[in-house]
Formats: sequence, C-alpha cells, structure tokens
Amino acid sequence: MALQQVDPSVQLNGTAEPSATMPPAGWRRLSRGQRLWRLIKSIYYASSPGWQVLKSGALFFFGFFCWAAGNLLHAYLPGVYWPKVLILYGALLFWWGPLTHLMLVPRLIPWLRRQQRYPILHWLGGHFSLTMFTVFFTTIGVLSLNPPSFMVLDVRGRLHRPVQVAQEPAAMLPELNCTRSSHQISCTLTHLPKTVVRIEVSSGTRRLLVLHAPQPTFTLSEGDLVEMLGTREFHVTLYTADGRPLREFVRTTAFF
Amino acid sequence: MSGLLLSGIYDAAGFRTCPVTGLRLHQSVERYVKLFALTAVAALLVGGISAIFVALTRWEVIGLATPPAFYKWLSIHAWNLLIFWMVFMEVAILYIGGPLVLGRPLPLPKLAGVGYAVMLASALLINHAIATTEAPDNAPLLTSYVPLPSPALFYLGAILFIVGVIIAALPFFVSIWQEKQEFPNRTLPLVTFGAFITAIIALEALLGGLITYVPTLLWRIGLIEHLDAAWYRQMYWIIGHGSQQINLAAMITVWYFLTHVVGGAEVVSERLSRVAFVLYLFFINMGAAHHLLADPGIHTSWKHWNTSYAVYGAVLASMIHAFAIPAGLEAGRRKRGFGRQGLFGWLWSAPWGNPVFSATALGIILFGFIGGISGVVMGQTQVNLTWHNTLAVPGHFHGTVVLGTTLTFMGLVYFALPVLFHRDLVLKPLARLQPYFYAVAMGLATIMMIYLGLLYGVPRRHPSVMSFPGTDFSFAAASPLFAIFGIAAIFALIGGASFLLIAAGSLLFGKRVDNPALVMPPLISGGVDDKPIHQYSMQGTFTLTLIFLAVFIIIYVLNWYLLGRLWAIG
Amino acid sequence: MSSPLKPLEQHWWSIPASRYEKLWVWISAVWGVVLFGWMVAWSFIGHQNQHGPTYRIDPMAYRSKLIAYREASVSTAQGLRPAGEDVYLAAMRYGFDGLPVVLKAGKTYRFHLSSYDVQHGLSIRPEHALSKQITLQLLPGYEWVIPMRFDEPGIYRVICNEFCGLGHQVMQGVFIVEE
Repeated sequence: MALQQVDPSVQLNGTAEPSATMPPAGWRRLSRGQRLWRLIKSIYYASSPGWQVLKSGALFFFGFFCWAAGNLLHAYLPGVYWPKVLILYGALLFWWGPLTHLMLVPRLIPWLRRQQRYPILHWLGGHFSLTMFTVFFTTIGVLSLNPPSFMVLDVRGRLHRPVQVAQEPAAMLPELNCTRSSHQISCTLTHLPKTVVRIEVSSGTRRLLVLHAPQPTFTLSEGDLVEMLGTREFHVTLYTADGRPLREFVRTTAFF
Repeated sequence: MSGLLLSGIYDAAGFRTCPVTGLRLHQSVERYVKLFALTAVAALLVGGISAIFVALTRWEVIGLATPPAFYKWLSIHAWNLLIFWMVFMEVAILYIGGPLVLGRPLPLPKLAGVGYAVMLASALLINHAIATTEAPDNAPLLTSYVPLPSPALFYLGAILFIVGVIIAALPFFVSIWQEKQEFPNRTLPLVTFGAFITAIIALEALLGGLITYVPTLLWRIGLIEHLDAAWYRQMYWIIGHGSQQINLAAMITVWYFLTHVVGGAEVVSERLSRVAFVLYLFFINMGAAHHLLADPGIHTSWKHWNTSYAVYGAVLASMIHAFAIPAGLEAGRRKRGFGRQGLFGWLWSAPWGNPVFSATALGIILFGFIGGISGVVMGQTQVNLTWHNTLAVPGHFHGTVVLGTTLTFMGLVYFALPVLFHRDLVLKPLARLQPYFYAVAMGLATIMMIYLGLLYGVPRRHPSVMSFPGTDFSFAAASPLFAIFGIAAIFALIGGASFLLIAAGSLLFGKRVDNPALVMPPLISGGVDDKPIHQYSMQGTFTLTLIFLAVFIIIYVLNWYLLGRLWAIG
Repeated sequence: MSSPLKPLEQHWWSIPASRYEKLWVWISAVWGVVLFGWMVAWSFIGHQNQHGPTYRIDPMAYRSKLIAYREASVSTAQGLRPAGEDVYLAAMRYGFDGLPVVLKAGKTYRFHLSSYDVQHGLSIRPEHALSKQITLQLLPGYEWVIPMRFDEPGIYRVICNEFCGLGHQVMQGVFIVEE
C-alpha cells in the first residue's frame, strides 16, 4: 500500500499553503486572536483523508458527549437553563460536524469555487467557514430561546403515571415462609395476588411440584431436594397468565 | 495447514531475515507465534458470535435470549474474548517480543507445545462447562462470585488454563535469560523490555488466579466447607485486574512495535518509556481494590491508596506512554521528511490507508479518550458509587479492551498476514475501511453503554430492564439510547465479521507473497542521524496530549459535581 | 536511529528526553496528586462517602436482628415505619427483606445492609430521576452500617445489579421518603 499523499490545502482567501498548519506569510504581524482564527480556518479547510476522518470522528463523538452530558446535568438540575443549550449544541454537532467535514469541505467547496456564473456561489466558496459557523451558531441561538424537547431524554422510572406519594398503594409482593420439622418442609405464601396462575417448585433440575391456581400452602419432603455444598435448596417460582415469573424464591435448609 | 505454519525460506540453521522488519527470525518462533495467533482469532470468532446474543438481548426490542441462555452467552462472551482472544495473542506477543526480536530460536519448544495443548484443552473445557451449566449451578459470567456456585469443571478448566499459560510463558523467560547470559552488557530492546514487564505482571496475576480458583474448586466439590465472599473478591481481582494489566502492557508494547515498522516512529526517550514500564511493574498490581470500592469490610484509606495505584503511579506511567508513542511517531516522521512543516503534517501524512496503521492509531486515540478516562474517573473511590455495576462499567472496559486492545491486535494480525504468513490481503478496499468502520460503530456502542449506565443507572448483567414483574417501574425511558446502542452494536458485529472474513480469506485464498516488503513497505529506515531523535519537534503531540488532558479534566469535574448533588451517604 | 527493536549502544538512563516530554511528565504527576488528594479531601469535606463500620455476622443471626427490627417497627400499608434511626435491609434470592419501608426526608438513618445467601448489588434511585443512583455491594456474612439521609421526598426504587442466579432479573424493592 503506497504512502498517503498529502493534498495541498485549498486556497485560503487567495493564499496558497503547502501544509494545512504551516504559518502563512505575514504571521508575525497578526495579533494572537487573528492567529488563532487563521489556525482554526486552516484546520477547517484541510481536507486530506486523514484530516477528514479525524475531524469528523472527533466532532461526532464530541457532539454525542455534549448531548449526553447536557442531559445528565438536566436530570440533576431540572430547573436550570444552561444544560438545555448544551443538549442542543451536541444534538446538532454530532451530525453537522461529520456532514461538513466529510462531505461539504472536501467536495462542495471546490465546486463552489469553480462557479463563475453566479458570483454569490463563488463568494460562498471563499467564505465558507465564516458562513457555516454563522449559520450553525445562529441556529443554536434561535433554538435556545425555546429549546425543543424531543432532544431531551426522559429519565423517569414510571413514564405514564403522575407520581403522588400520598396515594401510593402498598407495594406488597408475595412472601414465602417455610418451617421444617422431621424432614418435612411446610411452606405458606402470603400476599398472593390473583394474577398468579401457576406455582412451580423445583430443586436442581428436578421439578417437584406444579400447582395450578393460587394455592397458598404446600409441603415438601426433604429427601426429594437436591443436595448442594452441604445444604439442600429448592426454588419456588410464581407465574402469571402470560407465562412470565412474578416472583422467585430460593430457600435452603440452612435458612430455617 | 502445515503450509500455513511453515512458509518462508530458512537457512541451514533455521533462520530467515524478514524483509520488512530486518529481524532475523527462527522457524521455531515463527511456528508458535502463528499457532497462538491463529487460535486467538478462532476465539475471537466464538466470542463474536456470542456478542450477537448478548447485544441483541440487551436491546430488548429484539430480546434474543432469555435467561438462563443469556447468562450462558454472557459467560461465553467474557471468557472467549476477554481471556482466550487476549491471552493466546499475548503469548504470541511474548514470543515476538522475546526470541523473535532478539533473533534467537525458541528455547524449549516442546514446552511451548505442552503449554499450548493445555491452554487449548482447558479453553474447550471451560466453554463446555459453561454451555452445559444446569441448576443448581449457575453460569459463571466472568467473575463466578462465591458463594454462587458454578460447575466444578469450570473451576478445573480455569486452573488448567492458568497452568497452561505459565508453561507457555516459560520459553519466553528462558530466552531472556539466555540473552543476558550471552550478552551481559547489552540492554534489551524496548519492545523486549515491554514484553518482559508484561510477562512478570502476568506471572503475578496467574499466581493470584491459582490462589483463587484452587480453594474455590475444593469448596465446590465439598472439600472446603465455607469460602468467604469478601476473601474471594479480594483474591479474584488479583487475576481479574491483573489480566487487564497484561492486556495494557502487551498493547503498549505492540504500539511501540507497529508505529515503528509501518509509521516510521522512533523511541524519543528510552529512559522515560522504560521507567514507565517499571512503574507498571511496581504499582499496577496494586489496582485490584478499584473493583472493591463499593464493598463492605475494606477501610476507606486502603481503597484510596490502592485504587490510585499509590498516588497514581501507574497512571503516570500510562501518561508517559500516551506522550511517548505519538511523540515517537512525530519525531520519527519529521526525521524521515514527512510533513516536516506545520503542527500536524506528520500525522495527516501517515499511512492511514494501511489497516495496520489505522487500526493502531485509532486504538491509541480511542483507548485514551474513552477507555482510559472512564477508567480513572470511575476508579475514584466515591465516584464509583454512581458507576458500580451499572452498564457504564462494561462501557468502560469495551473502551479499553475492544477499542484499544482488540483494534491493536487486529492491526497486528493485518501485519502478520503478509509478513509471517506471506499472504496478501484479500478484499483490500474492505480491509482499508474495516478499522474505521469498526472503531466508529463499536465506539458509538461503547459510549451508549456508558451513557445508559450514567443517565439511567441501567444495571449490567441483566437481561430485562424494560419490565419488572409486580411493579410498573422500569427502565423503559432508556429505550432511545438502547436503540442507538443496538444499531451501533449490529454495525460493530458487521465490522468484526469483516475482519474475520478478511483474515480467514487472506490465509486461505490470499495471493502468496515471497517478499512482504512489496505489500507492507516498512518505514524503519530513513532520514539522517544528524541530531538525536529527542531534538525533533514534538509540538503536535504536546498539543494533542493537552487536548486529552482538557477532556479528562472536564469529565472528571462533571462526575464529582454530580456526585455532590446526591443524597448524603456516610 | 533509536529503534524499539534493537539493543542499545549506551545505557538507557543517560539518554536525554525532550523538554516537552519532561513538561508533560510534571503535568501528569501534578494531575495524579490532584486525583489522589481530592479523593482524600472528599472523605472529610464531601457528603457522599461509602464509609461505615462492618461487622462479621452469620446470615441467620442477621435475619434474627431484622425480624426483631421488624417487630419493633410499625407495619403500615405503605411499608414499615422504623421506630428509631436504624433501618435493616437484607438482600436475598430474590428480593429485599425489610422493604418496603417509609422514611422521613431530612432525617439521617443508619442503614444496616447485608445478604442472606449470595452476593447482591443494592442499587437505589428516586423514581422521578433515574440519573441519581448509587450501588453498594452486599455480601453474606457481613453487616455494613452506613448512614444515609434522603432530602428529596419521593418513591425510591431498589434493584439488584449483581448476578445472583436465575431470578436476578425479577428482584426489586421500593421505599418511600415522605416530607
């Protein structure tokens, strides 16, 4: 595989530059701010494949990071305004950045600069970075006046019911109590809801009991239980009508 | 098959000179490097298939596997990728870093063969034990936390695998010893030094594994009555984290190697790079307590001391390598006349179309920014409260082990295919694209896991967070991010499958190349030695590392700020 | 040429390094001290520290303590109301003994945490803000006493995030913090 050739940078406001980050003529006469702007522009316009990939990749991941960090801050500080701007910035950047640097800068700008018929297009080709930055940040400015809510992630654990603590019903799950006497284990289930249609009791791979319809008590013989690491254990699973487990219990003889 | 392992033209003593690296390699070393590397790729295939079931179950819109199948697939995924793909490749890297770079034959090749056989048999045994797990045993996942029992054969397999690795590592140690006997005043090359440190860290981790698994096997078969849960966690994480430090040290060694051969890098500071490896040796095995930060029974001072690897001694080492490797590339390329002007010309002009280089470079960048930063931040004692056992933890280690080490090892395989196996790559356009495609897809899946864990507290090791029976509480709000995760994971699977397709296809159908330098032009030589390498400009690297530090600081501050807004604990 | 593949002519310690690299090492060392120092400082000035005494206790003995606590508490339809400042919790296969419980906002409780059988993960968050969550590891044979004070009223959800067997995914609990 041949070495990657460095593409000469696109003409920058009339100045030809052999390398994207080489200082142009007259560098010393510029102020710090002007030098920084020139550096940013030179990176913006650099379009060799290596530049394209790394710029787009960096903006893609940075955009997602800003979106997520904004959402995280918003979740902790719901009344504060600034996280929403960060969300907006990230949500725009993660696609705008790669679009600009993979598509527009390498392909659109050279086309624009070749346009003679419509001077506005030629002008756009020469002032692309300034125009794009203006459009991007103006969009953010406008949208941040009323940030759209679809970009904000909902972080609630119950999405449909409004939370009113005082009216919270009892969250009582079924409970299993067992006692052991002379190698017999008697178990009782409490708070068993009507939605439970099947109860399975198993030990290891051995199915011991299958009870249909909610039956609160059952008895097991200790000898039927599979021994494991010095104790015997059994599993009790309560199933609802759709076949999914509502609650599971593991009891070992050491537990009694 | 023997044609794959014994290709190349050797002289009467069994040596040949590699036209790409200039190294003099013996056929005994080459044979075993290829054997271990091929087995590693086979493990990658098995692990990759399991990734389909893990990722597409966690994306519950598809919800492919239900428990207990999910927990079995998760265990297969962990063991084949985190352990077998990594460790088989690392034994190959030890043989490369040791006897191959030193130009020596492999000492005790029969021992290498025995080690390989034991490793392979135990890997198959572990896979079998996981696949046939049934009640009352449980799938081990990676950690098989006591007192939740796993199949006895699993513990036996783990013990045998550790023994196999120790046996396979012995020829490496002997070759270092022989080199020192023959040339007592010669310093080991940096790559050999890195491999040597890797091997010592490995031994420490492996011994920790024996201390963990032997008593656990005895407990499982009933010879020991009680095994303390906290003791097991402490012992397990000696090998649990130690094995990750092996991955780190091996990956860094490979970075020095590949950036040199295909990128033209040189070593800008032998002193700092070697000190950094020595820092790893002293401090990195201290890092086990960062898995125990949310545990009872351990004093907070010990947690602070240990999680910081003694005031961040090992992180300092990583920061040194983080500078030294790109700086080596920058200075080396400037010396060879590439992009001499400008801040980053040396980087843009690098061979990004060569998948060896692109995989390595992307591995360096993504390991640092995603894996490294997330690891140090979540290893802060109190911040760990918000990260522990959430999906952000697998997010972090996919950032290190997949975006870092796996991408790097893929680059190594792309290198080995022409240089060791004498096969040109098939599907070259796909090969050029694959590292980028995989990096972006896997990178997106990884950061989604981190965001799911931090934004929603989605738990790890859990097949169904979208509904909890008996309540209408769920993590359904996380569905949008899970969707992005799922789609990114599918693309990552395609990227991984592409790699396997190219690797297998090249081995079987690739055009035979007798002179690999024609398809893998090396950049080892070039430039004039008129000034020492450290006097070449490294401003570009310094700028990049400052950007890295800025990102680090922002993520660090964000995490601590949010922690401070939680309810009062302790 | 300074190659990583060749042995060195001179001793490696005497080979100089560039000033940028040395500067970076100093920056990294300072950053390491900051990382360490802030953790230590937070132990003294921060309000989120997983610090509390741990006692060895047999799981069945802990269960007896929990039963005694339950008897001393007031049992309501919404959950247990603890009599004093101690709240007892135990994770088991597959639920949380001691939940549901009703707590007062702004009051510091001593949470006693343990497991009856295998390792579990105690993962707590308020229902209205999933981002605010913490996890503590629960080990059988150890009772960990950690003070916690919840200032925000609401419904708090508890799940297990450490693999504990095939019923792991149905494990959940709730507690309420009221004004």
